[in-house]
Amino acid sequence: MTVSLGRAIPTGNQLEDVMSQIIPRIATGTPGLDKMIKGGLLPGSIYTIAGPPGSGKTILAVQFLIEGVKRGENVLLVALDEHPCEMHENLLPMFGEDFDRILVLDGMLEMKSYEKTPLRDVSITRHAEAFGKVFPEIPRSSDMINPELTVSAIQEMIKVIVRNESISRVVIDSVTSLKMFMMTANERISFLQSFLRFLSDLSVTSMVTIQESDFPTVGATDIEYIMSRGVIRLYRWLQNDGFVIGISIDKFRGSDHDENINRIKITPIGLQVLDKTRRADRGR
Amino acid sequence: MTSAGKRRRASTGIEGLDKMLDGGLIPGRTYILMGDHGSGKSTLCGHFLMEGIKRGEEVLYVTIDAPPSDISTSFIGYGWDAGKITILNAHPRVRDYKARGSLIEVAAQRSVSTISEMSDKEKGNNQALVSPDLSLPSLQLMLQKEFESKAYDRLVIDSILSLRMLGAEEVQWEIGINSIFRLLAEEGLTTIIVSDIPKQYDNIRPEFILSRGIIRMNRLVVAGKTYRAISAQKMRGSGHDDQVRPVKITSHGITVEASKVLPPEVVTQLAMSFPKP
Repeated sequence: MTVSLGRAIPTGNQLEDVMSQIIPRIATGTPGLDKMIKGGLLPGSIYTIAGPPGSGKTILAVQFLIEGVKRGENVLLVALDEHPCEMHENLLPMFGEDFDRILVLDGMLEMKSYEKTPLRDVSITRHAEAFGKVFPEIPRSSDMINPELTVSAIQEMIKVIVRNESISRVVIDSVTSLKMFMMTANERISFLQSFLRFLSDLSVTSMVTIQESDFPTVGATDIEYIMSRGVIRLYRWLQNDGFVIGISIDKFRGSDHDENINRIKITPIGLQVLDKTRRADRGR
Repeated sequence: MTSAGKRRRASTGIEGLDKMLDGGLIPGRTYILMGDHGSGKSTLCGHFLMEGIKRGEEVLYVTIDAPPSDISTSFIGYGWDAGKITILNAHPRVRDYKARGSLIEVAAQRSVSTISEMSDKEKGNNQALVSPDLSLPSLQLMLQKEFESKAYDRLVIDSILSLRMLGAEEVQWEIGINSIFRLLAEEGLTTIIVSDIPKQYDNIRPEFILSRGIIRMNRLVVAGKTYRAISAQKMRGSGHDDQVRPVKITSHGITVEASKVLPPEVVTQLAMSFPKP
């Protein structure tokens, strides 16, 4: 359908193209990645980081938060795969004191007692704190008032933290755990949809990680792919000189992007996208 | 590696593997060991437990898929003094097996029962007639009871394959895995959980998500010759070797040749499980 109003009105993709030139981009904090997405992430959107175990999802997501810290922003990590005290132990050497300024919300479920216990609101026992203040040990389940942690409780806590602490960047690591441990099979689609909608309504820029198997079904129609503005995919494959990891941009709405799979490297100071030209030289 | 070298590590008891893992496993964490049949998984676990004993630690071997007598026979065959390993027998036909050799049988007094019967037991009912039910919750309860009686440093659960196959619905499995990983983390045990290798296009399993590291062992035949291989797939908080290394079986267990590589045709076959996108 064409409407003639005497002057060109940008529509659809055109509009997004125009917008992407006007809107300031958000730096990802991963060297080489901003170049792949022609400048950075678009603010206020959800981005998905998908990949198999050991491909660097958590590091890439944490670098996004570290970048915020470096710019003086307040940032939040919701830990669902790994206890904050272990994350601290693992990642402090990589990121130094900037890491301690990330607010972290412990979203790990406690031990199941296999007994019926009365439900109480869990939010009174949990709150986000800076990584620098995380207690170095995993708290005992029995010390907690109630082991029931639900998606809506987590959602409520994120909402309060984002508002009270003026959070600009959020990472959910991983949304797979949120789905697996806190949603029953038949409510997963609707719960996840409403969780992601909630996240985008917060007007923060967020990264959510997705745990995949070594043989992911590429081109997934899962709700998390549909609802995110961009999908960054990590790969791990075996070649004659050992295991290597790579990165591609599967989807990036509102902007042009690199279509290739680029190699990445995890070093003691973080994860970086390797320079293509340098790699080609080395291959010769 | 910046701090990895300084951090305390739990040696696996296999020199080449420690080298691949930047010194060993991080104490207090739970790792997954996945592998083919006959790739050397149980032997690796044996080395890990014997190393603990050498260091004066308390170690526990939970055997689920094989009767303890099979395990003890093979360990003694390697010349190991396996009598110091405490075995918790959670084999499905637990009552068909009697304590043999010098292995301490915990299960003799502690057969597995269902959740509802566990609470009956607490009321003082006799549970001898209860038929063994094998599930993650019952394994968790067995472990909790065992941890009350002794503080362990190292634990092996070999393996969770039949628990998975016999297990209830997927959601129950997910919650059960979450709970058992939490228990092990709270107890501070360095744990190896043995698993099979998932099939292509299987969904990611909760135990892989929650594990702090995944070690993979392969056994494959290329041009009529059998090869064994080991690689580290994920190691949170640690650098690790990104090569696949050869594993050799000797009369004293297994060795990992951390500075050797497998023939290119073997790597090519292994690479079929990790194709270049």
